[in-house]
Amino acid sequence: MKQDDGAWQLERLSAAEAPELYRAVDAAKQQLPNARELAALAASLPLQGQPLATVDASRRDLPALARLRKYWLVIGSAVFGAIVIVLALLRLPVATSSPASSHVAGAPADPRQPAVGGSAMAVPGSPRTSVNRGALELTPSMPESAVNEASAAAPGPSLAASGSAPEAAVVTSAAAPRPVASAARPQASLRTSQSPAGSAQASSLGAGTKVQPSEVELLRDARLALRSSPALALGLTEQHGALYPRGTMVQERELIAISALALLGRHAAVLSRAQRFEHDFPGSPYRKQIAQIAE
Amino acid sequence: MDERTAEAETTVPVPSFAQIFEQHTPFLWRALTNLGIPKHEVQDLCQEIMITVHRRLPSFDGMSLRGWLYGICVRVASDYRRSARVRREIVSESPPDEASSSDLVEFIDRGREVRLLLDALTQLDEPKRVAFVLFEIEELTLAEVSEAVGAPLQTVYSRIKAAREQMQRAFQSRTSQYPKKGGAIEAR
Repeated sequence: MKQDDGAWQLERLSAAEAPELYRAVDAAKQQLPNARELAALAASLPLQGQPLATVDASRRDLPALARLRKYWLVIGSAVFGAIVIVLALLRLPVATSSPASSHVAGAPADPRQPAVGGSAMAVPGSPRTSVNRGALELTPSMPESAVNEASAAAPGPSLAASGSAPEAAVVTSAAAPRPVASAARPQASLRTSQSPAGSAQASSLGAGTKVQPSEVELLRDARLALRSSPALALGLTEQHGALYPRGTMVQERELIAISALALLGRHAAVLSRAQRFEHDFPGSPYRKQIAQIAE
Repeated sequence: MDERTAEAETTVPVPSFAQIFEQHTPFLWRALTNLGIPKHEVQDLCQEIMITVHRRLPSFDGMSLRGWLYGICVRVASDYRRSARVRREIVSESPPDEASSSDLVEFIDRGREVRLLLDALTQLDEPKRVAFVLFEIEELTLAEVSEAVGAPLQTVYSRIKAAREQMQRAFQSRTSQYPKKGGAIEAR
């Protein structure tokens, strides 16, 4: 092959040979994508080893999930205790729930009882055991809908009841009682708690700086953050929304925000926001990309 | 996945995906345009190329990066043309004499020469078009073009030669279809 290289030399087209064609080829060489098009492309790509938004957003949550697990026992028991108390107060006729509530509320550990449900994470002697027992005592006695209703009603009272519980408990409480049974739940509860935290962080970051960041700066930072911290990116887009509600880069902001939401696994938000985008900017060049993310 | 782990052991230093993106994407984008991909599809196909690059980068042998990249580019473009032709006829550029208002905008945007070139390129068959675009516009070497299209050097050589002749002819005849009117465009 290398020998052939010499034999098969070919000069490129010269201006002398075909001036018109040469000029056209030269003009074609100038037709490179602009920065905006490249930015839109970059936003949709797995740069720096980050996975694609549409392909597997769920995996990114796993390390964070592991971290949350540490607090899980505390959060779970606190929230559950609060729920049971509320249940006991609101629904007196439910006979079995009141002993459970006294147990849990009183609650440090009850080593006698082994973990119910065979959960690998349950440590004997930890509050977790009592949570499980609470769940066991509770569920047979009342219909599923009642549990849902109660847990949905819980956030308000639980705040008052469990003063010592970390803030995250408030956010996760709606999902918390159920994960005892299913392993998939924690992810959901994590996501709901993660993004408000991220956005709060982002907005406080922005509030700290004295000079108001420009539209371009904000969105550039958001786009860069998208790969490493979608929550921060989302926060920056929110900041952009607050500072420049009628800015010139609203479409770009929406694209980044929707990508961030997708990375965070907030599919419902992605869908509604994508629909709004479709409605607001029917002729947008990003429409297709956003529709793809929404899928 | 298996081949990925096996091939990942090659010791040849390969640029990172981010580097490739930075250095080559604009040109791959341009190549797609010149290979006849409609403007509104270019970004999507470019994304497809880069996803393929990302997936296959671990198995890249490190020999000729440009040949490898443009090879992916050519395949993606050709797949698109094939599938698009099956779905509906939307690939070919509309004839210049039926230019609608949006074509007119595009016409002005791209400049008269570029438009002429694209029109002339549609007259080439696909292998010649690819060879011409990669060699003359993308300025690949013969060896790189050969790697990109997976054809022997002499084949690539004769394709470029033939494409060039055909282009010159088509170009001259088409130039007369766009009478030189305003000086503004001509000034370039």
